[in-house]
Amino acid sequence: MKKTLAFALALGSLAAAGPAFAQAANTDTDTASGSVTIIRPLTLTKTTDLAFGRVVQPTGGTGTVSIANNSTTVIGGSGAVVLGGQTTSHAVFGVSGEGNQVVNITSPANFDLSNGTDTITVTLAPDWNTTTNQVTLTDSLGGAGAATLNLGGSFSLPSSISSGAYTGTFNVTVAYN
Amino acid sequence: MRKTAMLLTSALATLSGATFSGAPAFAQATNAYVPESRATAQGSVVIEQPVGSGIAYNVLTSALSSVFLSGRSGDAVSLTSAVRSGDAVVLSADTYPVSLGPAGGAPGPQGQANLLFLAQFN
Repeated sequence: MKKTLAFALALGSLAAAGPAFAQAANTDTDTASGSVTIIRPLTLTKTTDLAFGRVVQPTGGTGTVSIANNSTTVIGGSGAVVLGGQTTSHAVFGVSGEGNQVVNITSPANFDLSNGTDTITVTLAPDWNTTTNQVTLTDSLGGAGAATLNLGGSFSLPSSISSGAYTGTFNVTVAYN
Repeated sequence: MRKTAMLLTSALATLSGATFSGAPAFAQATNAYVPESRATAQGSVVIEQPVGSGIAYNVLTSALSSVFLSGRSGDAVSLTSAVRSGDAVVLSADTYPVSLGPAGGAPGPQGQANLLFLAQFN
């Protein structure tokens, strides 16, 4: 019991030493401010697929097929003939997030269409600056911002390729800068 | 004395553990995760074989014996000719022979000098 009491006294001395230490230093006061910018989540939604419709392959050589990123009309050339009466479209994605924020875009330069046997490589044609791969959302900080990403595409169509339905997918990713 | 020492040791251990386990968690939070959003689009195209037509013509007899349509099985074709008008056929093979005889099955117009033949793939 005696030893326990001695330990309690030692703690008391330690507690008394705190204020003495503060008084010994030269006092100064400075202020730090706290800040944070809250931004709403970024959402990317595919609105429209990239649909080339029906295309007749050339009887010889290699044809070309393309659709611009601001058009729904497919253009055939060098023997490739685009059939009418089909719903065609360039790909459209919608971005929503915080207003006036810069968003980085990641998308492939090309992707493949396949019928299970043959492959057609489609070169994508985005409507944003592909050097920076960035867009700035509309509106201002505090408001809901948006952007629309459009992608056209083109491919070569050799006469030797098998006919039939070709499909494929590609991903687009966005992130705040 | 034993109880006091044990309590003090336990408190130090807890404090030590919180310090070392907390630091890596903070580092992960600042470095790793950038929220992003991804979406997928589908591309599609239907490639069709070229369609056309051809004739079998005998230069010695000037006989036009038959007309061929080339397309894909299942293609629908509207025909207009001097002897057949308004017909529509559905190709049962990639190369499809079209008889030039009248609808009733009479002999075809062999030797006929001029023949207008139109085929429109629908």
